[in-house]
Amino acid sequence: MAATVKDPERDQRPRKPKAKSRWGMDGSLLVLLGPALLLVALLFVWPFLYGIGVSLTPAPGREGIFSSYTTFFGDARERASIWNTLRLAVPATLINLLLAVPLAYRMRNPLKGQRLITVLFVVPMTLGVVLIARGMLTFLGPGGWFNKTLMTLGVIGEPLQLLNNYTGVLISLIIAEFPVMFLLLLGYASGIDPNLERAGRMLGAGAWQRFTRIMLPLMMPGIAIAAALGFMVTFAVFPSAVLVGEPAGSTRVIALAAWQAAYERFDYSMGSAIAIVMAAIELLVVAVILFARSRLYTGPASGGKG
Amino acid sequence: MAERTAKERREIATERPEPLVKRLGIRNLTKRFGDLVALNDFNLEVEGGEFISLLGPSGCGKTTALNCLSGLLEPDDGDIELDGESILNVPPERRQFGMVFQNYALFPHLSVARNVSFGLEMQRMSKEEMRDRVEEVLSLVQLEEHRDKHPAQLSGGQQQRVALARAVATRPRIILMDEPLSNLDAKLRLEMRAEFRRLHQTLGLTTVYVTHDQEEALSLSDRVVLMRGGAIQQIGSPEEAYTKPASAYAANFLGYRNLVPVQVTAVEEARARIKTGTDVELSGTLVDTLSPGDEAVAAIRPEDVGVFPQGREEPNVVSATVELVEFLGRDTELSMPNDLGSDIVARTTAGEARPGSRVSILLPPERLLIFAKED
Amino acid sequence: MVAKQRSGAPSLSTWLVYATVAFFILVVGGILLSVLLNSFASSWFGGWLPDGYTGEWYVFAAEEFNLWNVLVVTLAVAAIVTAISLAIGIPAGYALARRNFRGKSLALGLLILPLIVPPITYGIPLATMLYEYRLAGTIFGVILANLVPALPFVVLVMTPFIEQIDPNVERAARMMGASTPRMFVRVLLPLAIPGILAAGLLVFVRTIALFELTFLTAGANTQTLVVSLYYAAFSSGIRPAQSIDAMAAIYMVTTLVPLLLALRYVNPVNMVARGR
Repeated sequence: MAATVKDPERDQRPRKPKAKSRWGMDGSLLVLLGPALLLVALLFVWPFLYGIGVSLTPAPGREGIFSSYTTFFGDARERASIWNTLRLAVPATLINLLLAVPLAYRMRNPLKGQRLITVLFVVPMTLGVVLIARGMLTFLGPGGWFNKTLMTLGVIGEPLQLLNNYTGVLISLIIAEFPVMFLLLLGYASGIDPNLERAGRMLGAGAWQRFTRIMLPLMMPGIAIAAALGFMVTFAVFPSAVLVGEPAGSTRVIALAAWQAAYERFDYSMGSAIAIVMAAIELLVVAVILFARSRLYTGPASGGKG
Repeated sequence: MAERTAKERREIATERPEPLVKRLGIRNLTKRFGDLVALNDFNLEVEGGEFISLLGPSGCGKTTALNCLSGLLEPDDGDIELDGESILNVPPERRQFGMVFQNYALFPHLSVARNVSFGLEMQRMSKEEMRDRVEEVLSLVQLEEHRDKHPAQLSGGQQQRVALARAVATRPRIILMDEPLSNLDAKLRLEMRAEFRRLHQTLGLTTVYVTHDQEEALSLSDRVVLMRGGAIQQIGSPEEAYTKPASAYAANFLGYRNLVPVQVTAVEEARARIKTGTDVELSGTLVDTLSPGDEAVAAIRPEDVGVFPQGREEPNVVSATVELVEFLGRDTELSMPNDLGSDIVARTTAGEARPGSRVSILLPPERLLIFAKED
Repeated sequence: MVAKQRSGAPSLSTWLVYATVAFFILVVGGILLSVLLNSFASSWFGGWLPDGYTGEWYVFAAEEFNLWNVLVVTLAVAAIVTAISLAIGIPAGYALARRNFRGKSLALGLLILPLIVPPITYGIPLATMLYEYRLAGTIFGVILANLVPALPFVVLVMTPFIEQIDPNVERAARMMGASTPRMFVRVLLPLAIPGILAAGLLVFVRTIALFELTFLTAGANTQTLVVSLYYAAFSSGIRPAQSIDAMAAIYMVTTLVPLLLALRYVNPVNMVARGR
C-alpha cells in the first residue's frame, strides 16, 4: 500500500477557484444544499404528489377517477365540514387580527414590559392547542374558576357554556394563535422607521391620523402575512375541535373528516382527497389575501437613505 | 474676503419677505437622561428670519436642543417662547414648525406630491389650493417632473429636496433641520448647501440648523452657536467664529488645527510673549486674560501659516522640515515637524515644497491666538 | 417657567391595551394553573380549590399511560430530529446565506413550504405513503415525519444568522492559509454557536409540541407525550381527570424547560418572524 506523502507546499499555493457552471453552482453547493432539498422533496413534495395520485384512484365500490371528490362534495355532511371549518377559521383570524394590530402598534416602541410580555405570550403558543384544550376543560367548565369568578362578581347568573361547542373551539384557537400574530405584527411594526411618525407629527397629524395615514398603510404587508398564516393554521384545526368542541356536529372540521376517512374507514383515497381539498381552499384564501394586499402599498418601510 | 456683518448680508438680498415670527426665545432649557445632562441651562434668542446653526460634535446637546424645540422631546426645565408666548405645552403637531430629518423620513407609501401635500391635508386645505401650493413648492426645489414618483425611485439628493419641500409647504413659522446633509456625498453636499442658501434668501424662513460640520455652519448661517457638553461655548457671526474663537476648544473645532502648548512669559495689553516647551519664543494675540507664568495654548489656522524658503530670520519664524505633502488642487497642505515641539500644518498655494525640504514658517502674531489651557 | 408634564395620565387606549394583555395572561395562567392544581388534587368537586392534595395521580398516570416509555420516545424523537435537522440544515443555511445562484428563490420557496402548509394537510398523504412503505407506526416513521417541518425551520433560523456574520472574516481566514473545512471548524462554527444553540433548542421544543404529524404516523408504543395526552384526554370519561392532568403537567414541564432555556438566546419576536 503506497503511503500518502504530505506536501507541505500544497496548502501554501494559491488555490485555483473551483469551476462554476453558468448557473453559479458548483460541487460544494450540491453538498451543502443538496441533502436539505432532497429531504424536502422526498418527504414533502413526493408525498403530496403521491397523495394526489391516491386521491384520484377510486376506492373499491366507487368508480371514476374523481369519485373520491364527487363523493365528498356530494355528501351533505361531508360538505358541511368545509363550512364548519370556515365558520371557525375566519372569525378566529379576524378576532386575532383585531386584537393584535392595535396591541402591536402600541407596543412597537421598546417598553419596559415588552420583553416580559412577549415571553408570557410565547408560552401558550409553544405549549400548543392540545394542552390548552385540556386545561380549558377544567378552567372554563361550569365549576371552573372562570365561571365561578364571573358568578361571584355577579356578572352572570348561570355558568356560561364554553365547552363542547363552537365557542370552546373558537376560544382555543384564539388562545393558541393570538400570540403568534401579535409577535409577527410586533416585529413588523418595530421595523418601521420611528422618524416617519415624528415627521407626521411635525406636519400636524394627530394620533388617529398618524395611525390611519402612516402606520396602518405601512403595516399592511405584515397584516396580510399574519392574516394568511393565521387563516392557514386555524383552518387546519383538529385536536381542539375534538376535545372542546362538538366533533360529531357543529365542529366537525375538515381535518377531522379527512382523518376519519383515512383512519376510521381506511378509505385512503377519500382521506387524501379531502386533504387536497383542504390545501386548495387554503391556497385560494391566501391568494385572495395576497392579491388584495398588492392593491395597496408594497415597498420598504423606511423613508429614504440613512 | 471682504468682511460683512450678518445685517449687511441680509440687506443685500433685499427681496426677502417678512418673516413669520419676530422672536424665538429659548430660556434655561435643561434635559437629563438618567445621570447624563444632555442640555444644561441653554439660552438663546433667535431673530425672525435668522438662519442659526447649532454646531458641535456628537453628544454636545445640539440634537437634544432641536428636539426640545420641535416638541418631540419634553425638557426637564426651562421655557420656549415664540413672540412672547410660551409654547412649551403646545404639542409638536400644533406648533407649526417644519422639520427636515437626517434620514429624510419620507413616507414611502406616498408619491412625492402626496408627501408634500401631507401637511396641507392636515390643515384641511381645499383640493385646488393644495394642488397649487404643491406645484409652487415643487418648482421651488425643481422637482416638478418627479411629482408622481415614490421616494424609493429618487436619488439621495432628490429625496433631500422632497423633504425640504414637504417641510416648507405648510408655511411653517420656523424650520428645524437635523444634519440634513450628512448622508450626501461631498459634491451633492456643496450643491445642496447652495440650495439652502438660495431658499433661505427667497423664503426668509427662520431656521435652526444642526450640524457637526463647521464649514457648513459657517457658510450657511447668520449666526453660529458652538456647543459642548450640553452648554453653549460661543455665539457669533461666522466671521467672528472664524477669526475670534472664544476658547481653545472652539478654536480646535473651528479649524485651528495647529495647537501648541506654551507658557506665557510677558503680557502687554492684547499681546503676549510666549515660550514653547522647546524654549522657542513667539508673540501672539491674547484671547483669554492671562498672566506671566500661566500655562496656555497657542493656536493658528493652517491658512494663516506662511511658508518660505529656508533662511528667513524674523520674529515668529521657525525652521521646519517638510514631512508630508498633500496635494489639494489649488492648495497644498504641508505637515512639518519643527522646533516648536508639535508639527505644524500649513495650507499654501506655493507648490514647490517636497518632502525633506527645509523651510521657514511664519506664524503672524495677529493670527496666533493664545487661549487658557483647558483640562 | 417650569416645563409642565404635557403627556399627563396614560390615555384610555393604553389602559384598554394593558387590560386586554392582562386578561389574556390571566386566562392562560388560569388554564395552566388549573391543570397543575388538578393533577395534585385527591378530588376537586367544584370548589375554589381542590378538596385535598396527593401525588398519587402521577404514579397512577405513569403506570396507566406508560409514561416512562412515552417520555423516552418523546425525548429520543426530539433529540434525533434536532440532530439530523442541524446536521443538514446548517450547511444548507450557509449555502443560502453566502451563495447566489439561479434557482435560489425556488430553493428557498421549497424550503419554506413545509413551514407554511399546516401539518395535517401534508400529513395525511405522508402517512399514507409511510404506510405503503411499512414505516407507519415505527419510530423511524415518526422521526421522518417530524423532520419535514424541523429541517426548514433550522434553515430559516440559521440563514439570516450566518448572513450577519461578516463574510470578510472567512476571507481573512482563507488569506491566512486555512483550508475550507478548517475555516469552517475554527472560524465559522464558533461564531455561529449562539444561532446553532437557538435553532437547536427551538426545534427541539417544536418537535415535542408538534401534534398532528406524530398523531398521524405513530403506532401504539411510538407515541410522543402530546399524542398520548390527546388520547388520554379523549378518553376522559373512562380515566380519572386528575391522572390526565398529571400527564398534562408532565408535558408542560417537558416543553417549558427547553423553551425557557432557548429564550435566553433568542428574542421571542424572532421566533415567530422566522417562520413557524
